[in-house]
Amino acid sequence: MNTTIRTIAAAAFMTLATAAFAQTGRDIALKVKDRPDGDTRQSEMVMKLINKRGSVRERKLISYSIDVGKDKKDRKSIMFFLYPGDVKGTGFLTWDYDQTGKDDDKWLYLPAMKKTRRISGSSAKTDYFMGSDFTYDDMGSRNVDEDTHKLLGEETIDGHTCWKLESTPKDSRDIFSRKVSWVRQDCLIPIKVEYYDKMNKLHRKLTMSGIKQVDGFWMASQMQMTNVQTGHQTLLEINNPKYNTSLNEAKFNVTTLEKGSF
Amino acid sequence: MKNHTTILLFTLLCAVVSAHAQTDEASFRIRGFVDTYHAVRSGEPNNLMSSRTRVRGEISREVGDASMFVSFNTTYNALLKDRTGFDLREAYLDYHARHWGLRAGRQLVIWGAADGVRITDLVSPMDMTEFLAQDYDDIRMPVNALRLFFYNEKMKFEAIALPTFQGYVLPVTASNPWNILPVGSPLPVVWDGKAGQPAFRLSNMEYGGRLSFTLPGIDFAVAGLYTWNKMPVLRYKPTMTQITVSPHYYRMGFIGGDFSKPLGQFVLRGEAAYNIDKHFNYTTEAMAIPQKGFHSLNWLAGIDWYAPHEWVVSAQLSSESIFGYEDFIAQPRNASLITLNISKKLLNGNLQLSDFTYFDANNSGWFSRFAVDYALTDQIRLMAGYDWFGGDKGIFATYKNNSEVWIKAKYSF
Repeated sequence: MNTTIRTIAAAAFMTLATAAFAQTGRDIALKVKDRPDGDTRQSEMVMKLINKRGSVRERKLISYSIDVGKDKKDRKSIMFFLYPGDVKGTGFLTWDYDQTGKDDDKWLYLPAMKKTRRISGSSAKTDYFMGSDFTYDDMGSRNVDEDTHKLLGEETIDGHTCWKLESTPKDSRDIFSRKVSWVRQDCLIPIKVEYYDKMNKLHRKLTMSGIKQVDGFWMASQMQMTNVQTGHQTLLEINNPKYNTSLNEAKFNVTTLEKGSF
Repeated sequence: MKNHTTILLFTLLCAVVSAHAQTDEASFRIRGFVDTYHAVRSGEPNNLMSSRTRVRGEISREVGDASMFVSFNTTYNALLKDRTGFDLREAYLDYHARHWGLRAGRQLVIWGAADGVRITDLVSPMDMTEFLAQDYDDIRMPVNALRLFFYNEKMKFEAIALPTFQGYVLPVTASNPWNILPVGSPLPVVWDGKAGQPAFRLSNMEYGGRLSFTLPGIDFAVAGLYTWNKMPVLRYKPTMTQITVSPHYYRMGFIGGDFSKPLGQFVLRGEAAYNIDKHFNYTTEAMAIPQKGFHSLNWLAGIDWYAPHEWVVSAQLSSESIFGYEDFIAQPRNASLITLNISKKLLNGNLQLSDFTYFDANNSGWFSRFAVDYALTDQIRLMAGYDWFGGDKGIFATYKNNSEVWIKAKYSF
């Protein structure tokens, strides 16, 4: 009996160990990307831009998004600026495609000009979003096959077991040469990410906190991105998140963008 | 006095709205800005070209699918006293159902894909009081219009009717450095702005439509409008005691379209209009020849480069060709204009450097506006710049002594 139990336990251990080691970096990156977050989502965002002298600038936005297309891999999102006053009403509409090499469709609405502009869907990805330390790419979703992923091992951070994952962009035009992420195994959220520049020096550091479940989905309500080379940092707070609310895909269009509200 | 009463009434209205806004925050939104702008001629005699301070207020309310929007300017203009006062800018109501909507009232209507050049964008006229030496959104003028929209996710059809005429505002006062009336005439030159205005009657209404598509990889639109040429033909009528100048407006129509096509870091833009029965100013010697309409083709090709590190470069080439051209038309048979816009953001977007240049290819004249814009706080922006005019012939050369240095401060709320 004891021999049987020991044999089963040994076999189970071997199976689990094999499964853990068989998991590739890409598998983990895919898990992170496919982490359940509903088919629709909306939230209010407060972004604090802090320079190295401690001067603070604030941006407030409201954002809506919906997963669309085959296997719901594509995403449509719309974002309106609420603060400061001179950009209030400015809106971004993005149709974000998962397919590698396919540029996003993007429109910008400027209320002072009462005009919607078609803007480039590719170049903005590597630029910083509205003066923050987050790039447009950081704010959107990135196809896992835009990077090569390597599982570096496991580490424990604040009592949470994390996968340590290294991702190297395949496109040399990306602003980072590689990034290292610590992905919490229980909720699949990267709680720490380090971005290295072309000289392989640490450039930016992201930490995620306030991790909780909302409507049954894991999310991080606070993100801090620090540019360690300039001392500039951005605190992003996500308020009032909602998932799987009834958003109509047809409303993710230029008419809604120009209306200024969803 | 009338202005003062209006301002007082509006202040009271704002106070009432504000009180409601405090009790029911979801109902009213109030925003706006205070700005002050001053410009000095860079050459002799270094006189003041502009000095104005303004409050812009915007009030909106949204309940379900219905909303309203009001915006106004209250301005003190030290140079042009008749521009001091209250000006209702936009006031409209909006309704948006699932597949149709309407907007009725005084509103800005912007069509097309061109920047700073009008091809199919012939609904809202322009306020040329300070020529092009002010922000482009201040140059555009609202019109009284009823617009009906029918739309789905990727298509939008707009039908528009404008019951009342609104033409360009031209700089015609002697105190205005941008004055277009002749100076140094032995007889006084008098502006009679009402002489050639279309009467307010149903047959003078403008109407048209625009069908636009926003698709993956391309936007395009087709449009048509039966309208008025809002840039008037000027008539000079000399008498023994004075020369009277009056603007005359003529009917015209157009059919045209536009597109925007992103290609990697670039966006290609194009716009064209076939103008029907458009009237043009004649040369001074041909003033006695009766006016007639011509057909013309007006087109534009442009490219925007959204370059890395927050550089944006936009270039446009536009041209208008007049069919059945007559030598007495003041405008060349083929008039070409080039624009170049370069901007760069620095300091996490808090500092922006930009330059927008118009180049008149027929006359080698130019207008270039260089601007530095710094966000001192989230509310305050400080701006400074230089408007440079040059050339030997053409409209930009006319203003070559008007090159100016300007400063502006703006508090947004």
